[in-house]
Amino acid sequence: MELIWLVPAFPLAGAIALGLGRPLTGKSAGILGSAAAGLAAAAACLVACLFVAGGQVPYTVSLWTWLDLGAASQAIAFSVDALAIVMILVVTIVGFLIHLFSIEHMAGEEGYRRFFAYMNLFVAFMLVLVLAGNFLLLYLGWEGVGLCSFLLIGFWFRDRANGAAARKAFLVTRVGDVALLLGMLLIAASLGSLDIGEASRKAQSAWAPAGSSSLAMLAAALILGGALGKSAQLPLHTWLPDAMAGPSPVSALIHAATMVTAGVYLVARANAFFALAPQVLEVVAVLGAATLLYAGLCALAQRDFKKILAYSTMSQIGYMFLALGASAWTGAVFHLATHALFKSLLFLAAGAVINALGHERDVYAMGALAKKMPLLFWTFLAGAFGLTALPPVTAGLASKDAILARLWYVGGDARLLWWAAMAGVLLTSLYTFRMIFLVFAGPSRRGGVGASSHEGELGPSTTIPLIALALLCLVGGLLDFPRLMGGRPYFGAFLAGALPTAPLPEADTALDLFLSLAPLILSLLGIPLAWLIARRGLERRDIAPKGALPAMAAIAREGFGFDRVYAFLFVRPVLRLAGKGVDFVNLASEGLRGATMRLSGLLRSSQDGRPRRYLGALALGALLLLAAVLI
Amino acid sequence: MSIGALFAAAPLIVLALAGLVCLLALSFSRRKASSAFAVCSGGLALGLASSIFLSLPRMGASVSGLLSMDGLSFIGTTIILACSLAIALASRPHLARREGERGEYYSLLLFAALGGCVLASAASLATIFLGLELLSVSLYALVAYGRASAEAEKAAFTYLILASAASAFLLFGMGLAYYQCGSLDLARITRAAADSPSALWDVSFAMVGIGFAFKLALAPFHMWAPEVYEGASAGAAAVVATVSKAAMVLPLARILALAETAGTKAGPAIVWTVAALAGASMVAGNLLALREERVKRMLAGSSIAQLGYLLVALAAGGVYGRGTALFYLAAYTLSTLGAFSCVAALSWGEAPRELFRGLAGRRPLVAAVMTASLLSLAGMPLTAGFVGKFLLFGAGARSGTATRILVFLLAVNSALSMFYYLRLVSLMYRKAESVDAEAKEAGPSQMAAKRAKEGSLLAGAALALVGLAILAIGLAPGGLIEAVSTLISRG
Amino acid sequence: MILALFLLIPLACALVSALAGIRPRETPGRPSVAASRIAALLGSLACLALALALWLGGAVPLQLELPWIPAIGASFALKLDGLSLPFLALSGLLGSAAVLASWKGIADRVGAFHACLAFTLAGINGVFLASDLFLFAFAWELMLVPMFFVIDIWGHEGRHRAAIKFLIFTQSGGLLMIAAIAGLYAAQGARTGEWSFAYDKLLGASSSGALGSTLQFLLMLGFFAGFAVKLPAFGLHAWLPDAHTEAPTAGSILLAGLLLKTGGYGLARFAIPLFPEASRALAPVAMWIGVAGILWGGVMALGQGDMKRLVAYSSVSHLGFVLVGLYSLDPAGRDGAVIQMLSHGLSTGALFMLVGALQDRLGTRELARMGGIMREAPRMGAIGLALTLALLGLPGSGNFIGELLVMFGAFKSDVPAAVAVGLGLVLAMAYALRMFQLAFHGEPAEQRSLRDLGALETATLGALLIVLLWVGLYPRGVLSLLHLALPGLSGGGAL
Repeated sequence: MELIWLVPAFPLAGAIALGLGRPLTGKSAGILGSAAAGLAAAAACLVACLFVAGGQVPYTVSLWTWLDLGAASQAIAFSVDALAIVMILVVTIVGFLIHLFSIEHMAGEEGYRRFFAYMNLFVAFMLVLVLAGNFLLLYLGWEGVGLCSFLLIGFWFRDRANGAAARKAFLVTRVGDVALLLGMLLIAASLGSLDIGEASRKAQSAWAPAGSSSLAMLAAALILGGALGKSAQLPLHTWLPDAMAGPSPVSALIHAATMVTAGVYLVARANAFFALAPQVLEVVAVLGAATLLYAGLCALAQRDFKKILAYSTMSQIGYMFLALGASAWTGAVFHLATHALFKSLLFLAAGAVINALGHERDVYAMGALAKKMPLLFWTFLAGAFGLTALPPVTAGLASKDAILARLWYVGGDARLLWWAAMAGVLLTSLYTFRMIFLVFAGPSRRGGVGASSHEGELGPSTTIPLIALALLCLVGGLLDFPRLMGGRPYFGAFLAGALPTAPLPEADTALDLFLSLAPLILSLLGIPLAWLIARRGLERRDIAPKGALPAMAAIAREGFGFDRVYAFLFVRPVLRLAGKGVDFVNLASEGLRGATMRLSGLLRSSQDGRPRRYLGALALGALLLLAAVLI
Repeated sequence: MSIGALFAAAPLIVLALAGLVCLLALSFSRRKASSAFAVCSGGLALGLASSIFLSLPRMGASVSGLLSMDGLSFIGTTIILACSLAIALASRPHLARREGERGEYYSLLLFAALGGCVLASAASLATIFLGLELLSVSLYALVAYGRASAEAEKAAFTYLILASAASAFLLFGMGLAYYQCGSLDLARITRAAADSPSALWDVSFAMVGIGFAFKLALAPFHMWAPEVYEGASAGAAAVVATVSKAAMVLPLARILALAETAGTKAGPAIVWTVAALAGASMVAGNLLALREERVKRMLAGSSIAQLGYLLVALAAGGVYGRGTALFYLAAYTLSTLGAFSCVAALSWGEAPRELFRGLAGRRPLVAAVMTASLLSLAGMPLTAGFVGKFLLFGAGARSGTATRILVFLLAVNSALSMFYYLRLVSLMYRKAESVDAEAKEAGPSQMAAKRAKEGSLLAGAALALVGLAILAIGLAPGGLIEAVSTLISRG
Repeated sequence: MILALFLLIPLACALVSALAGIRPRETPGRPSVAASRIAALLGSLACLALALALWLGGAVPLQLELPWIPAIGASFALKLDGLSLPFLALSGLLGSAAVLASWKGIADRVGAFHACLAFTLAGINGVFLASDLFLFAFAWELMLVPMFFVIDIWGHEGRHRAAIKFLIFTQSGGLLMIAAIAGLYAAQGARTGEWSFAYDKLLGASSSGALGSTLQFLLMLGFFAGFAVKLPAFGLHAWLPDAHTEAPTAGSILLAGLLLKTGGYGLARFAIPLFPEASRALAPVAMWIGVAGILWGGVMALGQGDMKRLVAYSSVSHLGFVLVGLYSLDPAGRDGAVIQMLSHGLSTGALFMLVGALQDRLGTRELARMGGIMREAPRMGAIGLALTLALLGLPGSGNFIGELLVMFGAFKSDVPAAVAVGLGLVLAMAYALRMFQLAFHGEPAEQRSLRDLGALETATLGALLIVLLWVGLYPRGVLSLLHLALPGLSGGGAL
């Protein structure tokens, strides 16, 4: 029981050791970092086993009292329940594999040690986030992962552009964080507690009677704000594509598997508050759907290998929000888990490809890599099937179908959302296979430069994580397989202890068949279309876009100009105000000074040394004085 | 006239005799300046001693109804004599270094002091006028004298013209008072004014007030001050800034005290007029000093403002107010004395700010005392000025709206005054380019140099004493406050 | 008698340093120079040790009263309680840091310099300890002149102007405060016939109806003016950027770390408890003044090209939090304000030390001429990063606790204010990251060879950071102490 604190402690210790350990040179830093992550994973598994063996009884280990916020006393305390278990397993296992991958992938980079220190620190913070029993500690982890994301996006800080991307990521998410902070204050002020469980109970008793009280809505909305920021959902999504400036393992770990999905985790955690505010829940669903489609379209238009994946992540998280909106809590978390598997796999494979091509990231400049790099191709393909929910890869298939089915069953307006989701399915398969065709198929479009430097010669520390993740993708879905194919909802049952679950209505085979086949067909339909799109894209890649469709593509490539709008609305006004840092208050004081000085000069000029003037002044003064006395 | 009265009046007598002796000595040989100096300083010291040992025990004794040797007069006498003594010492080196040094300076100083003391203990309009004229005439001479320059003469001339105009107002006011109650005795006058208030009384008080305001250089009667301070020698300017100011504040305090005991109600018009005078002086003085490059002019502005501050306490009235005023007077004279002694130590004539650049390196003692004096004038802690300011605030805050407004003005103005005081202080601690000020002084003869040397030793000692006094009062003002309050409550 | 040591030790050190460096021209390395440095250092360390001993010994509250000027009822009365103790510890810590920061930088008139530093510290300690308003005013004014000299003699290019500006601004406020003290004293004395400056005696004045509501409000404004200028509150902050920028490193550390805090301390100790009703009337305005400070300071910091000036404006922003917290008139807000002051003292003090180190090495404070420091000087980079994070209030740093509590207090009394404060957090991140990335990331702007932090500097900065982390992770250590002082503080239940 008590050793739960070990889970975050290992990576933290690793981070500190790496931070201070000047002598750690060469691979040793990477090995130490991976070891720390591995130990964390081991500890996590142990904790999980004990938890299951112990009959899944949630418990809290409190280290010390941190702060008293009014009546609410916040402790540095880790609380373990089914949801936390799932999260720590995802974080530590995927995290460990990515660390392993990085040992070779990052070899020779400047700041190798720094990289692993940051990565370890990230894992530690992420674990704090998911293990936190109260909002305040959760916020610590929340900000901590934001920091690490900032540090790792800007890892190659010699190029100011990376720094800008990192700053953008930190800042945009901060906007959401402030909302979250305010939400916490609201909860603490009105419920007198920040312990998530207790606050939820109090909320149900205090806010439920009034149906959905405005306070509940406000709280939920503010929490949602935080979630939107971290999970890069509309309208706070603009930072994620730029975040691809970081090394690929970073994208895999932070911007695919763990941090960006923290928003989903948060909403699931705070489900009690959302349950009290159905309107907000609808907003969640709608935003999810919107992001899903928006990101899909953007992904379809990208040329940058990693940006395609980034937008794809965005849209997948859109699915999760959709699920949350339909209060399919477990479904959302399940998709979170499977997505962590296949998306990190995709990123790692992509990273390997990009490295192999000498940091070439334009998919139009690739092609015909399937033969050159079979391993990368097959693992990538496994990830892609997961992404498009195609058998035999079970990961995406299971989780996405669950969400779609849930949407259908909710009925009512949610049907619209179902249609949106279906469109999303098509989009997904379109951009995924477009990417695959462009990268791996067709003729090679690389000028000899930087080509085939070290293709294929991937060391074990690179291949093992890829293969492991691919296998996990293959079987991962079986944890909660659709009943149609004789699956059992182990996962949902496990989470039932932590999250409210609504059982699906009893089986109607025909409908189930329809619900499972529809997306499958759409995905398959996408493949040939993707081939056409890829071809057209190649043909017109260099000519300026003419006609509506290419223009659309150009706009989509820019993410539909959100950046421009925000720059115009927020960034530029503030910067103009800041100007060159000229402070009008200071100017005012200087003005006052000048005025006084001028006055003094005036008075002194009256002292011109002419006695008669003085005499006149004397007389005048006397007159005034007499007048004052007499009147 | 009883022997007791004689003893009570001892300081005045001593001063008068000393002055005469001084004159006689000089008339026999003009070269006996050192003896004149000796007589002067001796006389002043003796006067001080006599006022402590002879007149203090006989406090409250009235001398022929014209003088009353009470607490007020004791305070005044002490301040005036101490200042004059210090000035005499500070002036010595420069006078000694001069060709054909002139001893008359010392006799004039003695007479000025005598006039001041008469004013301080005047119980009747007659003595007030007597003392005033005695003081003024010796001041005209002092200003013109002891520094051979056109400026000095012009300054003296200006001073003469304006002062006589002011005296005219004063006399007229006195005449009106006499016309109404047929007496020159202050006590009677105040009582009469209390019993039968009339516009005429107001006019006469206003006239007298103008006379005082002029001597105290309260705006708008201040225009002469910068001229005179600048033109006069450092020593003479010091006398104008300290002795004559103290000499004018005391009769004012006495009249107010008598008026209060008589129960004269100062109408709102009077109160507001006084307040206006005070406020105007603060603002005008500080603005004049603000960017002044000539230190003596700057100090002129400073003293205009300082007297404005002091007026706040007098306007507040009451034993507490007067006590505060006198305490502040002591603090002010001490600080100003220190400042002028430092100026005198550097230059007898022109005193541009540049003279003080890097002073801390060249003349640590002078720089230290100057710093203390300026900080005291600025009202910074550890110095007498801080306590004085604090008491002023207290006094002002106690009574009516007018003084409360004055308190606000006081705060703002003394903040403003930091600018010129601290600007000079900072100059003293900058790196010095070796412009030695004393080089300007004429190279003295062997003999003179020797005398100058011993003179400057004495001057240095006096300077150090002043500095220490400033700090002492700043750290432990209790004794002085006690003394003042007991004296004025008994007087 | 122990309390007097907090004043005597620095004064003694001032004397020793002054005597040691008496001769105007020194060459660095002369024994007397070293002596004055060591004397100053030992003095501050002694104060720190004393404060910690009292803290751990749990010997609060502690009092000392000696007669001083019975004639006007002023006494040399010191009182140490949970509110003053943390600040005393801070002054000891930052005092030492200031001496260490100028160990190499100051070569001219070293003795006088350290005398001034020690003198300022004495004044500051006096402010934090005085429980007699006359003594308080005395100490309040006492710290100005030596600080003026520190800026005016040892500062940078524009020092003379900055020094005078600093003095005039603070003095205008200070004198209004003194006037208010005198007024309170007069009113209370007139009512009770007992003329006294004792804090406890005056505490009840306004509730006892000695002052009419107008007079009470005016007096409160007087106090507020004095403290708001020091803090500085928005609109009165014009002196701060110049003073901080032009002062030598040690001066900036003392200014930002301690002098500003005297303002907040004064509000918490005097302005609010002495005039609860009037303060309640002012509170909404004061809170929004604070908010304005937070936002405007942040925007200005965003525009600065001079690193030191940027940090100075960040101080304006951070001390806005103090105003908001105190005038939320909510216990949480008050706690937050205090924590914020302590953390700001630590973080900004350290930041100024870092900027000073950079300026000594690069000869510039211009961000545009830095860049790439992370690679050349990793230790500097790491500490710079840590300080940046504290600047933007990352959880774990004391600043976060302060800002959180302040926001909580604000939220309870004025929700829009809390939201605006939230915007301030975003701004803080913007300027903090901008500063960090311009200085430490990218390529070096010009050819140079940069020496990394020495052991001494690293140790000092590290110590400050550790304390900051301690405040951030275990604020109870401070808060429990603070709550001991509550009864003494809650004048009329204002707090």
